[in-house]
Amino acid sequence: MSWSLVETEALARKAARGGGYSWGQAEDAGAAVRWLEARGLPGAAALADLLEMPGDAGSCPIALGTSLCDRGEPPAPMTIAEMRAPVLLVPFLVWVAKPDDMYLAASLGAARIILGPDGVWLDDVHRLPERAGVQISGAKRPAAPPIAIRDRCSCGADVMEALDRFALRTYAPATERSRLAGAGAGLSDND
Amino acid sequence: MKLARMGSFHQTRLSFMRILLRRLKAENWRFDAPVFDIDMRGQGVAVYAAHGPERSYSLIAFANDLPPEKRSDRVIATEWDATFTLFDGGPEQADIERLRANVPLQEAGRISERELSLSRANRSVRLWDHVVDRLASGQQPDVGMVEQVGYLMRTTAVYGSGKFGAADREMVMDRPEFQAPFQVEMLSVFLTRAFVMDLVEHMARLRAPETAVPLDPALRRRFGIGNSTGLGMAPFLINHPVLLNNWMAVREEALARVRSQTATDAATVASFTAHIARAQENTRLWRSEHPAQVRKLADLRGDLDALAEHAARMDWTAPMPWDRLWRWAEEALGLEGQEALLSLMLEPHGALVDGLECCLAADEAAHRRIDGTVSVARMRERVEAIYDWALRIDWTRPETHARVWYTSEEKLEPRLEDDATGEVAAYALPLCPGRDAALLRADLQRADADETLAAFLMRHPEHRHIARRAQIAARFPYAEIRDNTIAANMLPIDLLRAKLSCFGATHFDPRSDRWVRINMFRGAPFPGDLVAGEADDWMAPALQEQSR
Repeated sequence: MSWSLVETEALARKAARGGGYSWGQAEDAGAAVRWLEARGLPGAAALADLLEMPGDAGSCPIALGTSLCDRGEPPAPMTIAEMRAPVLLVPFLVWVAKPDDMYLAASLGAARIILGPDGVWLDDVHRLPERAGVQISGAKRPAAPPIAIRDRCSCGADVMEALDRFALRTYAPATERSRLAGAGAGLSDND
Repeated sequence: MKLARMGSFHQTRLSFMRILLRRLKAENWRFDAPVFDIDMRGQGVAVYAAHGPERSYSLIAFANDLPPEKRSDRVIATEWDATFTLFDGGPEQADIERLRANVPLQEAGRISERELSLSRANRSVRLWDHVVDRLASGQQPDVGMVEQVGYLMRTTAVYGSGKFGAADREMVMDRPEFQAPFQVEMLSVFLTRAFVMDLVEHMARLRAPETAVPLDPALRRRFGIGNSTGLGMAPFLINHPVLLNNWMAVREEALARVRSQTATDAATVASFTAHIARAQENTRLWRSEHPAQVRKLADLRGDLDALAEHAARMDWTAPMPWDRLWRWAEEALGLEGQEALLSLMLEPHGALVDGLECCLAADEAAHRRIDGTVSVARMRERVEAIYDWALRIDWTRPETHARVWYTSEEKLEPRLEDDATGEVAAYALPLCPGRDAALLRADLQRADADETLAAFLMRHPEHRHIARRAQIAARFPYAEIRDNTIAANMLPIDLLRAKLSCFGATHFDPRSDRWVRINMFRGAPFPGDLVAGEADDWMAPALQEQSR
């Protein structure tokens, strides 16, 4: 079974909100998860990990990523001592304004990701850490073809269930009153 | 862009249903029904295929024998008279079996990237039984009853892009047939109408093979497909500001093009005045028991009478006739009449405005980035310019923030709570840009004027959502509805009508302040009629029908 990217993004947005982010940050978190999943990178799982992992804004890829994007300056070189679910930082490094021919290398622990205007390169997806120091530096375009873009998210059901648990916190418990008044029905449909 | 005006919108030439049928006609789409396997109890499956120049699509319909106590239009229903999916291509038997196990469950099932939509419909029991009885006994149904109800089945949700596992819009938007918004959903509904009409004749034939007759073709076209829409749709226009902008910008550009014509000719005027007469007839057929809509309909009828009279005596040879007409209407007509006039003015100007349909779609992701390099002072100026209407509201008054939009745990359905001080306040959705802008401005006023927006948002992540909206609205002038969406007197049906009119819906019949029934494709040709017939002249009854 696979998930559509639209529903993956929507669930990630709600989960981030349920996990305590503001709606505006949650929108960026949802977009980041979608961007990663569209490249076969485990964005949904990373968000689920992030929401389970306590920590401050300094080690949060959503807080740092949105801030880097907002500032609109190329973030290289840069060293971050510790980042939770660091792969979530990658989409923001792509989105941040930078020269058209600039390539960046992001070292997430043992994993290395190259980002450029025409794609993303990752040597081994299994090396992506749950938390790690991050180093960002200039890079050259690899000779290999970049990661192919996909139409679907193929993460495991357990990951979606983990996000669902956080998303659930954004839903108000229903009452009989809200059932009738909230959606505005009450008249017969048998006509 | 006030809610009262948006709640008075009418369909136009640029509505999505009309864009679809013009394309199906222009490209000579072919239609067939390779599967129609439905038994005496009304249970089974049918497949309706549409074949375009490059690709085919198939509506797969699962018919059900629904006990009356289970018939509800609410999203909380769990069974329906019929359920549908639009399949990308032609389904194999294995696809049909997979979908048979999922589509009838709707939200509780899963579909795949081969499917483009998911929807369901319930019978109008009264009219359904009447039509089957009449046809089975060799008679045509009562025209008055057909006009009063207008459809045999009412869809409720029609889910598209990516919902419940369906293909994302991004997967198909580079296909010319789906470039304009909601073409998947409109195609699905167009084929659903054809299926429903075939089904009612089929049921009459099964009941009385000796005596049953098909519907008279002219009467058959007077059946649309109904739709019942609740609050679930209301947040859409607020959640898609760039898309809303494009829909409104197209409408304004179309109106401006017509108004800026320096002269007109007799044929155009004749077509325009004929359309007024047809709109008058259409309004006669428009029924509602909701007090607000009853008032609006009375206003509309009065406005159309005034318009017909004015059009008959105005000097069409003087310069800028359409602009003069519009200026007259701004003084003489109410919102219903003005909006009907906009639709009527576009009607004889297809060559001038139809090309705008390519501007309706939006690449929303391209506008998500916040420019944090601007100063707090500059951001404040922007917020004050865009949200001036919201900053004039005294937000300390309870009636200005009396409502809360939230999502209920049950069925994940958007709802509206009238007690903003209650426990659901903690679950509020960001669907109140006016108040959010006022809160943002208050904190901007307290911040250092030279601070960057990026630094401000680090300290105030709670303003990130509205800061993004404000920057979008600074670039897209119609991105924000300039009204308070949490006011005590706000009518959600205004949001519903605005969106549904862009689809091409007619005969709005609010059932409460937050739930509306409509008609779609009423009067339209059926798929098989498109090749030989007219594809874009059906939104109001033809004049000869009025003499009946």
